[in-house]
Amino acid sequence: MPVILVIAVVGTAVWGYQEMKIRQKLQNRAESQYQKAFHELSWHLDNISGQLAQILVSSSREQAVLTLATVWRQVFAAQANIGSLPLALVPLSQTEKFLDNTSIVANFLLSQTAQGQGGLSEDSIKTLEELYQRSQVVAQDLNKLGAKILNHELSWTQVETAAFAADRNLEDNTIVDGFKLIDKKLEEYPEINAAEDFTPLEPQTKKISGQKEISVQEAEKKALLWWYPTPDGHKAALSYEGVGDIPTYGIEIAPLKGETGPVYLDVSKLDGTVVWAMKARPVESGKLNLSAAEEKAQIFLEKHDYPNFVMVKSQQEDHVGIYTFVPRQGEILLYPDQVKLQVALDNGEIIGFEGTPYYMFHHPRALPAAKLTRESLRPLINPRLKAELIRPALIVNTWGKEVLTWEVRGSFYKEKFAIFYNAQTGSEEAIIRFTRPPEFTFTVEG
Amino acid sequence: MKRKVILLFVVFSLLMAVGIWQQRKEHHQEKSSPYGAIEVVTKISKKGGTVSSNDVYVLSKIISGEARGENFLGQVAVGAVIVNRTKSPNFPNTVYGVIFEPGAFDAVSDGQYYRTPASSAVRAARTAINGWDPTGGAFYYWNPAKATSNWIWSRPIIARIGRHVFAR
Repeated sequence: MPVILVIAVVGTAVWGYQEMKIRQKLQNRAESQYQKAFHELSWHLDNISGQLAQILVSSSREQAVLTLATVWRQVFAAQANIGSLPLALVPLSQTEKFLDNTSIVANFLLSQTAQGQGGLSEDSIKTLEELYQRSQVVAQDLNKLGAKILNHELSWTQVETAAFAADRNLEDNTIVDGFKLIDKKLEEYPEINAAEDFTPLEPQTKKISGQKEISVQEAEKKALLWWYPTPDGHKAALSYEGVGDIPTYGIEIAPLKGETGPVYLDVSKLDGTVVWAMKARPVESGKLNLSAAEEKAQIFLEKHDYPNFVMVKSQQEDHVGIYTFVPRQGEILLYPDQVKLQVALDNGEIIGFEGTPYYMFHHPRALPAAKLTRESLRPLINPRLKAELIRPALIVNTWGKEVLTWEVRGSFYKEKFAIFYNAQTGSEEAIIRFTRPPEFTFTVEG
Repeated sequence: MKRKVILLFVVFSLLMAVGIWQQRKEHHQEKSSPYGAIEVVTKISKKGGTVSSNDVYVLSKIISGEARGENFLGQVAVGAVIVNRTKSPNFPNTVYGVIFEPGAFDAVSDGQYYRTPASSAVRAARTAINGWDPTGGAFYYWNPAKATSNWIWSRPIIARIGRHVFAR
């Protein structure tokens, strides 16, 4: 009998030892990945700082282009490094903002300089210098922290396990404190003197005239009437309240017997507009094709007082058609003011309406007349693109500005593209590729 | 008596070993099959761009792991937070970057992510990735019954949906 006991004890011990070894190996592996990410981050910041200094001391346009491209690339790498460190709940907003600013400024100046519009302006130099000062702070502090990590053999996996043990209340941790300190130091600097050019402006938010907020009862009534125009026994009830981008009442309409799912509608407290809606139900088969379902979407929009919209994008995902519509001002398509619809392809029922951009941004715009005519645009179009459609459109460009453009839709091989030409200068503001990415069949439960 | 104790001990050790071995095997299987397919990936770019069905599937897995038991609205809301993060300068730019940020999501840390997602989560993911956002622009959410982190409670709350609160 003692033999069994010995075997059992020895067996358990051997097994436990092996388990421990495996755990240690995995932990070392995680630690090494964290160490790599941290030291790379520090190295990238050194480079960013050095490259910014190089631009500031050089007066060559060629050097500026090369160096700005390097800065842009290094910022991207630094952002990836931060994303792979266990710092998810450490407030780093200033550091991240600094990196984002650097990336935007570098990218913007790069595109300007590369387009040959002379060297860097006084304003740009000033902004670069401000970024340089901040980069010095971050780079130096990261180096100091790096030395501490090396010298005291501080472990990143310990940061992670300590965070879990303390339910993410991390105090008195050298690594975390080091990062917090960097963020604090950056906070003391004034906002980057970003000339308007650098800041991707949000499209002008429509002034939402906020007189008196509507009541819950009014919202419930509006929601019910919006989705079920003829009373048929459905009942609406408040589900939640939102105070985010738009103050809203979240209204839920429970399904009747035999129906598959509830309808959720978000109603603006300011004027009772239904901002978005969705019906939670599975769609098992698709009898309708995309264009038949598009008609259903058009009818829905017209019924709900969204007349004269143009469908600009359609896609099918499983048995659901997803459509993007935009309104028009005269002949001009207003891309920023879009609405989206989901149509179930089994019976053509609308199962989703998303009108937040329209609600927030739609307003009549003072648009300049296009200097470029449709005819003078023709020679600008690359002959490799088989142009199929040309129409005027307002878009938000890479830098967040609304610009009047000519939209040219065409194909290249089997791929579909839209190219937007600035209606005043003829330069290409944006290129959109419509080709669907490859699809795979996945397993789902229930 | 002594015999019984020993026998019990042996049986217990065996059960534990078998249990852990199976758990590991299971985990491995769940991990490997969907991963094989996810390798071909189209990036979701920070400013618009294309979204592949792989993004939808990855998003549905995290929704399933994080919001199992929530109704459809609560699932879309969790998905919307992840989509909102991809558009913010303070977070990685891709769905993958956001989800696999170390320690960002319990479902990734505890392995729930690697289970097969519920079909409702796939619909929720598709809805969220196409712009529906019940939270009105939230970047964080937590279960008030569980989260005790001081920092997380310092975020401004903008909505309560199901068991989660959502914050900026």
